[in-house]
Amino acid sequence: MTTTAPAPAARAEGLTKTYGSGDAAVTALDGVTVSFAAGEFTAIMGPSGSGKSTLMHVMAGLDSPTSGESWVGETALSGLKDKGLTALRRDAIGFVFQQFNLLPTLTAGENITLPLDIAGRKADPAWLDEVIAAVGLADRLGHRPAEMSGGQQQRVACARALVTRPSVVFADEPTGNLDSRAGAEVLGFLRRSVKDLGQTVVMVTHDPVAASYADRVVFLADGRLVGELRDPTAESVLDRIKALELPRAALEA
Amino acid sequence: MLRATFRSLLARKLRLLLSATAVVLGVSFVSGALVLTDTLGAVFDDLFASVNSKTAVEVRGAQPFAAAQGETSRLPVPTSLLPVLEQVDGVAAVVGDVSGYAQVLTKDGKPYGSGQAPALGVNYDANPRTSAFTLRSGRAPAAPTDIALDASTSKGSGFGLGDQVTVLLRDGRSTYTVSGIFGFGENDNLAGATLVAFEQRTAEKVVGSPGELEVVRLAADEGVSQAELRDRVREVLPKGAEAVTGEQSADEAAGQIKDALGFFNTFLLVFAGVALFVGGFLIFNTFTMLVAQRQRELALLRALGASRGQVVRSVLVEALVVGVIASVVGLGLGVGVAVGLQALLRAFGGDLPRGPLVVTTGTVVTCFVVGVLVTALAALLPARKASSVPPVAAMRDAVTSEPSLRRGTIVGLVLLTLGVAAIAKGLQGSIGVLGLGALVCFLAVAALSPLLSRPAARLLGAPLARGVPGRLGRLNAMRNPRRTASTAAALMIGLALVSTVSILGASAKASIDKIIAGAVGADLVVQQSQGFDGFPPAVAKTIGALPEVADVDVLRFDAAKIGDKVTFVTAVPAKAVGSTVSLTEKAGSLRLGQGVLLAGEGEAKARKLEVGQQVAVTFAKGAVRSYRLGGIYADNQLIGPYLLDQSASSDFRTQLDGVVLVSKADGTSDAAVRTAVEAAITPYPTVEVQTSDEFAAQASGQIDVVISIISVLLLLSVLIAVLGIVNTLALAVIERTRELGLLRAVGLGRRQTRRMVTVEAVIVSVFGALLGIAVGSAFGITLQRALADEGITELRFPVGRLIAFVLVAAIAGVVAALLPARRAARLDVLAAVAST
Repeated sequence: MTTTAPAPAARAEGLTKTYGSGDAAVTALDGVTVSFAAGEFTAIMGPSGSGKSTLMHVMAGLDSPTSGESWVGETALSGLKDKGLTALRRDAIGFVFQQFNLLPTLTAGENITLPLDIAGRKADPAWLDEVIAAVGLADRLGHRPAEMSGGQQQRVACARALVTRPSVVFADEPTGNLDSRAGAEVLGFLRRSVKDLGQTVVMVTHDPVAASYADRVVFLADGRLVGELRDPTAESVLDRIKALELPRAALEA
Repeated sequence: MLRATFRSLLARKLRLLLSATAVVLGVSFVSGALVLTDTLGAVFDDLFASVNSKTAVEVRGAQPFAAAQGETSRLPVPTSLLPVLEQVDGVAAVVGDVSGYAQVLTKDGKPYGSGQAPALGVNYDANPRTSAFTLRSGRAPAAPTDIALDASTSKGSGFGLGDQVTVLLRDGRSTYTVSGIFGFGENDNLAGATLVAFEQRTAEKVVGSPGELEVVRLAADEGVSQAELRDRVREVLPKGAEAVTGEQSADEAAGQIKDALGFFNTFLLVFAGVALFVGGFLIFNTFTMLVAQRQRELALLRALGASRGQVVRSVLVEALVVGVIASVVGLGLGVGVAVGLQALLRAFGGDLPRGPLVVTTGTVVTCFVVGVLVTALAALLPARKASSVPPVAAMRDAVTSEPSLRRGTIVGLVLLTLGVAAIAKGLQGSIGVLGLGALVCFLAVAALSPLLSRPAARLLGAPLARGVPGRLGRLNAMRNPRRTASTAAALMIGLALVSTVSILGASAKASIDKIIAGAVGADLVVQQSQGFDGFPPAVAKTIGALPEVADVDVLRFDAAKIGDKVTFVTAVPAKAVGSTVSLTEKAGSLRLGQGVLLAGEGEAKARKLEVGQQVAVTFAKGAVRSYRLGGIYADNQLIGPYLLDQSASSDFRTQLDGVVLVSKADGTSDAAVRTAVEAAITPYPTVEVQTSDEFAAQASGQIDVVISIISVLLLLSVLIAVLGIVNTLALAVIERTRELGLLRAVGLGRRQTRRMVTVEAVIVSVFGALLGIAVGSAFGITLQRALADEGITELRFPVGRLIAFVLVAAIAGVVAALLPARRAARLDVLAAVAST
């Protein structure tokens, strides 16, 4: 699906985010410029406190930067108020959180179509079938979250994130709460959604194995972009972490 | 442990504040009612003590029977007793008092005064040794054309010294000159009555009856005690007269007023009770939710070694603190309520004497006990639930599993059986048991309603569930049936009571309409528009002389004792029966005459009276006469339970007319006769003329007023229930922070978020309203059945009004959702998603 000059699905320029002020000020992002190509699966890695989650939150419009600008597709986020951001999140962004992704009162099927229902739009039935088939949950659509395993719940969340055909899906440690088998299922699905369905996924993770499913890994430390890797394997990611002298212990924290 | 409790209290200030508000409102009503009663009681004690301060002994006639509601009617004291009393050793001065109807007319000819307080004419006691009057200006009335006015009436009517005042009296109207203005010590008037004081002889003539005095007051010589003098006076009294000390008389007078206030007090306390009961639900809900939210924290405490008892105590201490704070605030607010109620009473009942507010220890203790007890009792179940959290829950993700509803259902059914039994027992005459039964029924319905809340929320939410926010709101209302049910139950109570009152009121109106519609055969009904005693016979005479009028029939009413029951008797001319007074014969003959009594069907049945038997009637003036029961008529609202011939009214307490029924002359139009009668009664501004239809409408209009007053007071409890909805929603919003964050993250807009919360609130409130109307209908039907013998024979559902209640409840839901919805919409998405 990758064309010669892929337009970025999301990008950021000189993003800075400071919490607090004066002596207590903490710089979470320090002038990050990054671009996520459409149709690519990107992993953001870095130790705790490196700013990887903040980067994702700011680029997804959940948080606002202290300075700098970010775009989703052609839309600059800084110009948007709550209403615009809400619409952007609904229509152009998909979310998968580490935990608590589903409304307990809705069935799996209802959770998947929730963003469309909120917008008052009908799902494209072919696309919906494709997404549901891809997560392999066709027979569980009538179940409530409480009746499903953690892996199943995360796959529902992935399907929900894709249902609007967003410009970009942001996934925040989507396998953080899962055992390795369930995690592999979820990552496999994200991989397929990029490769087969042409979606764009940006995933924050601290797990080299998870990162190895991506097309590209960007490394963050102390709020700065410190390197990137194409077509990673778990080993190459680990090597790079060692090369960057990122403490492994911190990564696993 | 205690420190942890206080920390958690502080952390939830707002929640607790809201639930405390419910208790505050209830306690302030209790405190207001008690302070008001104590204050007015003290004021009237003072007033009557000072008025009677110079009276050592009062001589008065015996009571033929004690009339209902403290209204004493006594035999007169003969004037001939005065010289006898003057001779008693130790008597310094003697005065014979009379009193009777005397209505001051304002400068534009309207009756002066509120119409709620009596308009009395009295003798002016000028003797400083006995007089309760304090002359403020001018001089005592000396000539037959002189009067003195109390200072309040003088101020209010604008009549001053030397002014000409027209006074309406039993025998017509007369004009007098104001010679003096008086007060009672510091007070401008006597318990709100409008007083016109005449010179002694004039008073005896125009307001009393010749040779008869109402009471004789005696002043004692120096050194003679009240009790001593009373005992000496008793020696000389004839049969039918009695002597009491001045102190006792003052106590009795104040006591009568306090009895009337006591009724008002009970009335207020009932509403305070309802408010507290509803408040209890609110407390229960709040604590249940707080305990659920704190499950992990409580489990941690348990894991760290806190015993179950400690956990129970920690929750109860929280409740106690809330109860104490609410009681203090409620007590304080109650003083304000008392001041407000006093102003209200003044607005309706004329002048009340003023005095400092009385807050007794009893009031303070009652308020604290009530406030703390209600809070603690309501928190007891949640506290026990808190203690059952296993320590292992600290390690688990807080999954609030819903225990089965079976236990609640069994408890509910048992309570329902008990409540219905209590109501059945209470209907046999005990209002207390009836109230208790209703209370237990409310608890039963509250315990059973979780069964209903899921299907009800699904059904009620259906029309609101278009679009995601509506659907989510409906799902939220359905997800916790207990919470939805107990929040709705608080609203149910108020609405059940309002519905009961509305149904009873509508039924009473329909019943009265049915009875009255055929009761009056006359073209016009003339009756008093203001005051209670009746109006001068001159009115009937004047109307009867009109060429447009063929005939007039006079109805007089009085209290009398028949058997052992004080009841009302009506006297009419025999010719009226079957013409102007339509009666349906049920047994015997309805022909009136000397020595004949007729009885209403309901009364005859209740007292097991048979046609032909002799019935003894004790009249208010003491006469005891025997009548033959001539016949029984279908119950008639105008006539009441017993009917006598006109001649019997000479034994009545007053010789004033109650109602005059007018038949027009042949060939006169309705309009012409009305115009003529209206013109004829202009000199009597307290009298009004109505058609029989208007007369019927007026009777049901009075019921509307009563329903409105009760409904407004019950709205207080509805208000508290709305606070409960606010509280539940606010807590739910906190509980669902992550959910809300997720929804906002995937694109739910702020307006949609608000709508979601609002839909939930509306579902809960409408569910509560429907429950309330259902319970209220059951109560209403039961009460109507029970009161069918008392005249409420028809059952009517005020459908429009009940629908309006549901709409009001829906609006209340929208209002209740305002703040929680705002909060939900304002939630910081990132923080909400990140919160664990």
